[in-house]
Amino acid sequence: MKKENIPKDDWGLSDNVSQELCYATDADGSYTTGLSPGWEAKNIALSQAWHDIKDALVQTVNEVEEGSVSPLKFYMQFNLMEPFLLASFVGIATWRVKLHMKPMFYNKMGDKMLSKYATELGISVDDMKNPNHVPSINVEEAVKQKSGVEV
Amino acid sequence: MIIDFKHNQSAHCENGVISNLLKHHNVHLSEPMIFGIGSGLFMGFFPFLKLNGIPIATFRTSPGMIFQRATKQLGIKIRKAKYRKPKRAMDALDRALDQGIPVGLQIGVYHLTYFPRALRFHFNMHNIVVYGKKNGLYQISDPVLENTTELSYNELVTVRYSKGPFAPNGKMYYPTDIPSSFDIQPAIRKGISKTCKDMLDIPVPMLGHTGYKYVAKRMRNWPDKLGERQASMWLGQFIRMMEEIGTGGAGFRFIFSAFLQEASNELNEPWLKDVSAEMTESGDRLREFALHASRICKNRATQDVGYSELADILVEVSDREKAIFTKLKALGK
Repeated sequence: MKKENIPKDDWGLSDNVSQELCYATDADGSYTTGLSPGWEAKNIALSQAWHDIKDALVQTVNEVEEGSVSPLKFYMQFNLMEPFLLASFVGIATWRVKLHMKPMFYNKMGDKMLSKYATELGISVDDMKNPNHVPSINVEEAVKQKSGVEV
Repeated sequence: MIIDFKHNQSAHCENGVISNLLKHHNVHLSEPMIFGIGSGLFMGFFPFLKLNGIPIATFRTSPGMIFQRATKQLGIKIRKAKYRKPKRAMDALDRALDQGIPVGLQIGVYHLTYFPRALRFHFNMHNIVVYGKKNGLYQISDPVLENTTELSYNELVTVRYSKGPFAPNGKMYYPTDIPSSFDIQPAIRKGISKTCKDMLDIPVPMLGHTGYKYVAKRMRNWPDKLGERQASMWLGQFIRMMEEIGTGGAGFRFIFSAFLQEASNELNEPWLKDVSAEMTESGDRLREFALHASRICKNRATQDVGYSELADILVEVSDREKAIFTKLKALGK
């Protein structure tokens, strides 16, 4: 890559934190470095990733409304986790997380278990107990807030 | 207290941390030099190891290897420690800082408050240097950022104890014993020769230069096997592995090319500059690949470049890198 070809595709995905350092060649072919605010290929891949996360969350909200899964699935996915990962954050077995994703077991959870989840998932116990919380979330807005990406 | 530590931005966190830590101890090696001596370049595709149900691809050696190899080649001793209890991990960090030692840490980026929000995934192999504490805030040199930053005690505990694959478990490290003089030439030769072995000699089709062909062969069938939508998700993740986690497939090729130029001067082997130029071309082809692939993802088909054209690029890169490393092999002899 030549220095003048260092991509300058700033899609605002970096929250103005920093530009990236790139290695590129100057006029006589020697290597030097330059800064890039972003690159189309990366930006597309990132946006698509968040887009897919949003789609999955919208589907989960429907499932929660139907009553086929518990709100835990939504909170978990919103934190980009899978049962195994959530289990290791909370410090319990994966099968217990899977059980808690079923409404029947979710509703039986005590305050102690709920607060463990709440801490790791960045929500309040009250929201977890409120059956209308997940259906009331504007998924698109929430994912946009979380990622800074238009989805 | 704050240690007088010079922050230099790098393209990749692991190289950057090593390079910065060594510079603090008056060993001046550039990021590409560390990457080359540490034999960082690689290619691998793991159909059985999956992330979100999609196979993992990598364009570099496994995390931590560059560090291990580079310090070994240079004869530098490193103190490494992991801690079961966060309190002990933080106390150990404080003690090292009190002694005036800048400390490298492995962390997860999901809870990393200063990181761009769009990049906060559960990725546990990020590396930073802590070089002091002021008003209760830890002073952080994150090598992929232009400037230094700060984290509170609790923020630092959270990222040091992130969970999931490659969980850091509070890992910290710093060089303890640095030889007063280096023989850089044998280290460079060994670094190159190890990279050649990794890229040419592993008798597994998914690893080394054959890895590209392995993916290419499968990629041609993705649209038929998986359907358009699923295929574009697989391709999307492939680019993210390539470009977002770390420095990028092409990015690593450019760092390696920069290394070959430096090596050419150090070893007085002018022909390495030509090989460097060839490696640059290989990187450029990978950039083209990523760009075409991302456009396919965006428009979900309806492109003049399709999956089989993408696969052709990978096959070409495979042949190019085979030729490059076959030439480089001569150095090791």
